[in-house]
Amino acid sequence: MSSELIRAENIVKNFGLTKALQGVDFALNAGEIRGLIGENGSGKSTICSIISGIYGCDSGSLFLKGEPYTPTSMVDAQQHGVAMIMQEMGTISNIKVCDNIFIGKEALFTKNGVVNRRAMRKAAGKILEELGAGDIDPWAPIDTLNFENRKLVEIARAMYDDPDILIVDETTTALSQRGRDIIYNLCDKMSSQGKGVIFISHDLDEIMEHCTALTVLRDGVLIDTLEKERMEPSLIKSLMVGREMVGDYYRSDYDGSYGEEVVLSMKDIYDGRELKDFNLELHKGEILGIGGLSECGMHEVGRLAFGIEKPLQGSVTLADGTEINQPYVATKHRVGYISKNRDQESMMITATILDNIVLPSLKDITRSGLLFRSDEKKMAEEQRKLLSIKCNNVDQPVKGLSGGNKQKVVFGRWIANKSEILILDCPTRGVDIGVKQAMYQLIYKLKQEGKSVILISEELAEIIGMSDRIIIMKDGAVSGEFARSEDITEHKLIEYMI
Amino acid sequence: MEFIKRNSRTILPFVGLVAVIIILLIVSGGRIFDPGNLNNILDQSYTVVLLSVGCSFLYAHGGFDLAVGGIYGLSMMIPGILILRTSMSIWFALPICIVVSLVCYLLMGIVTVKLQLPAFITSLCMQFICRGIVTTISKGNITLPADFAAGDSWVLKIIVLIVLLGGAYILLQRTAFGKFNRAIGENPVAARQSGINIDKVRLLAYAVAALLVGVAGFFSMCSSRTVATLAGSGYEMNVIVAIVLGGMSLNGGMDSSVRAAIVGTLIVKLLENGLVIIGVSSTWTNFVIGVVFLVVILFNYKRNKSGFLPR
Repeated sequence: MSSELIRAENIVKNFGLTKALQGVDFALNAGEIRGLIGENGSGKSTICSIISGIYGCDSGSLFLKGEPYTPTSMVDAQQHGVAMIMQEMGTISNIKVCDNIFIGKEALFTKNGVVNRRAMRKAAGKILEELGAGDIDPWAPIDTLNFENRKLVEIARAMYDDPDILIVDETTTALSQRGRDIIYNLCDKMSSQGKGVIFISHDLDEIMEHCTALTVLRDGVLIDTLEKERMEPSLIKSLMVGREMVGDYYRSDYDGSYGEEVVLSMKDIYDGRELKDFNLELHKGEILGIGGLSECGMHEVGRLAFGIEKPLQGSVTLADGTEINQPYVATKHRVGYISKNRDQESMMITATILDNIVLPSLKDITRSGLLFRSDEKKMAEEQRKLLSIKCNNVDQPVKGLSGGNKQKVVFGRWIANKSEILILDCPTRGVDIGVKQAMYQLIYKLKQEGKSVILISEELAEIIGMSDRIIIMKDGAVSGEFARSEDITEHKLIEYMI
Repeated sequence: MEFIKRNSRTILPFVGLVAVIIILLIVSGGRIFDPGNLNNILDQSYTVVLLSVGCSFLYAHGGFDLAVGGIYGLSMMIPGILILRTSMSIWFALPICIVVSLVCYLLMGIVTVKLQLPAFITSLCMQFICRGIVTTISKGNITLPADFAAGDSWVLKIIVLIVLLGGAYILLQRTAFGKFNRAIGENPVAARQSGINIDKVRLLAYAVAALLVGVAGFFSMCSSRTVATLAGSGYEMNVIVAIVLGGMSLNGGMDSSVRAAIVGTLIVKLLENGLVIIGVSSTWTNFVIGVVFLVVILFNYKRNKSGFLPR
């Protein structure tokens, strides 16, 4: 038993009526990198939050190295050697990098009541160096760092305590290859030192490559734990969804044809930051995939195409010559947009499912100047059925929904708005494979109905799987263009990205 | 039970209103509802209800209004002086009230919306500007001609009230504009990306507030037949207290409602009046209202879970 780092016995946790965990037994051994996978709402984050002291559990017990363990807070858990890196941003704004790393630990550098900031800066630099992120200046204000570097600062903060157990909660999704490699190296290092890692991810390939074992959760129940030899994509997928996956994941055809008519064109765009002389034409019935590294300017393309930002030079125009310079101009002409930052930008998180779905279409359902609840309800119910949004009723706030269901709500609002052009920025980010498959089939169906889609994504597999035409961007310009074909591989595309 | 829990923000203010009425009735032995005093309460509530409902359009989209008292004062002073000097019909005062209020609100709205300044600051500035103009042009309180009594008819005032409050309810609750306005309070970024012309909607909300404030000004002129240089000072705080006691979040959002402004105003005005009637010194009234405000906020405001009271 000495090799067992943590054991959870019969953990039960309810959030109101939602049964998040229904008696989960879980154990992590020394030297293990344990993948944790499951659909949204399966309880992966909940079990980790309990282990790292964010929530208490309703019943059940935890043992840390054989001793009973009841963390009262994240700080308490850290003092017991359990550290967690969160999915969302966990750094504190408006202070420097080194202050973030040593927050709450200033006493280490304090002499006679004065903090020795130079020593702190030096120590921070050393930790970052060890992590492989020596290029981050410990003296820089944290807000000047991009998302990835801030994540690395957070990791540095967690690692300074030299934890025995590190929990990584879907952190890698938003990182580039460099950030991911740093995390993978860290996991391997911890494993070789006889420590343990719990690694939550939606990315099967990543888990299969880097984890030593894999635990599958479904609806708050631990389904199975697979050793490395038994990890096999089709088995994992069927364990996750509880049935065999039927039908296509992406689209199956390699037709790649689309209409002649150009429905949206961007001409000689210069936005003063990423994009220079950028041109793009979207055709009727086309799925146009745009890929590249996170900073290549592809997200800006989506924002410009929808009028959220205005180019300094150049213009975005529709088939009838309308210039898009504001989102309300775009939506009026049936263009829809899903932001990469869904919760912050694409939905009103505390409002109801109904209000979120009907909002862009209110003018369509206004009758003699008034809104009628029956019309709103009808529209929301239609989308709930069409997209099988899992909820008790449409008057429920969206904040209680899982990530995949939230994304369905966002899709639903544009389908209800009868969008002819959809601009999707990372539409399947943080969404489990069951919902992903449904989204891909939906996008394909929209194409077949003659609608046009711009699919911006950091996942090359989905761009290759879905697009009629692929544009790869690098440093704010198009570096490669490919028609749909069976021969395109991720490898080939990556060459154009770097 | 589940229903009550889910709609606590709607139900609690009504419970509060009924509780205030019952307590005051018992303590005063029924005196607060003497015909004479009832008239007083209605008179005092009339203005503040209109102002609160008007301002609730601004609070709904996440705005703030510290200028309402000042604009209300100016929208009475300008027509008051004009009528004294030109001896035109008192009914001209109504459109002038509305125009003055509209000019002030739109000016404030354009500065707030187009220059993207916090409404808290711009409305504070507007309050000083209005109060400054009022004291400069009036050089003291003015007394209006007796003709103004013609507008001091409860039948007329009630009809106007019903039309305006009904209109405001429909506008905020049952039209695309109202829902857009509330959606901006919920999340301005998401509202813009949903295709809402957020600048236009916010400016429209300023115009609605202006209309109600202007009308409130006219009827105050009719009922008091004087305009004081300090008329309306402190009303911005009355409005804030009313909106919060009515169960609306000052951050705005989908839950915003005209109902909150109405119920909240009644609670505040009943408390103010009732405390005087039952013999509490008027110097203590503000103290009591402050305590009630704090208690309501403790129970009703959006809190994080570390608070010591249950959500």
